[in-house]
Amino acid sequence: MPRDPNTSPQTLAVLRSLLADVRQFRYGYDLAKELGLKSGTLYPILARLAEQGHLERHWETDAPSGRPPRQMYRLTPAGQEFAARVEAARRKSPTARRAVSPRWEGAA
Amino acid sequence: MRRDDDGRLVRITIELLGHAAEGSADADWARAISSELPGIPAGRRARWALGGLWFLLLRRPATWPIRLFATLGILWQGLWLGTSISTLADDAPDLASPYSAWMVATQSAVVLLFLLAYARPWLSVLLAVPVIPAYAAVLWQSAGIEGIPVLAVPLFAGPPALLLVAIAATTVFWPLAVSAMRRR
Repeated sequence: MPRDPNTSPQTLAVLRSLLADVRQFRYGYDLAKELGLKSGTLYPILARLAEQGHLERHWETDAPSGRPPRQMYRLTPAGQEFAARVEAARRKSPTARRAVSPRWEGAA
Repeated sequence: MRRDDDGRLVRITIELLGHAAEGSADADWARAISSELPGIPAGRRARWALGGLWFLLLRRPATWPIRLFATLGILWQGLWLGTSISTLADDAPDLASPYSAWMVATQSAVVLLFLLAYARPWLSVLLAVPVIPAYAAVLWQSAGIEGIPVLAVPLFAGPPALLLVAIAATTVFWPLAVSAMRRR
């Protein structure tokens, strides 16, 4: 049976990290650095979450001169609800808790 | 990797990033990945850019040349798969060597990867993997019957090679050439 794509440890880590402060916009490398994810892993997750309506994106408006504006991400209200729901389910399920590696576990 | 090589690789990858998503809904993602580069330590930029490029390439839909070569590949390998299954069925009662089973397994994998090319062209680049044991199986059989395996190359490596050329040409080389011409 195919696994729900939003339950991978990496996706859960991204959701938890964004859920930690729902008002703050985060940029890609910031999330990657915090969670120890490579761009080839992080961007498919961000793209999937954005396509599902869980993620809001916008271009930085106050980028310092000499650096291009970054794309920023935060959870939409629907995304917050979804992230809270999967996080609650993860806490209840001992197998799902084990699936999250210590590195990602410590990321939130 | 030396620092200047890393910089060159980053420049090439940024160029490719721009083209990998040109005119598609993913153009924003390409810009987003590139925009992070100035904030990433120098030694890590190439990996970041390459990871982003792989992400964009995987999302690219199949273009018509890819679909054409994938269809031809399915027909071509499908015919040989039919022959191999028939040979395996004939040999089954006294299968002296695993050659026939190898052939059916590898040709089935190649057909599946041709099918995958419709959905994820760059993942189907894995075509090169099952072609190698198929080729080895032909060599093995040919050695046994003292034949010369000259036909093995077009039979097994030909269709996947054509598909790989179509994938590389339409997703990387052609967009780069168009961009170079535009700049002139």
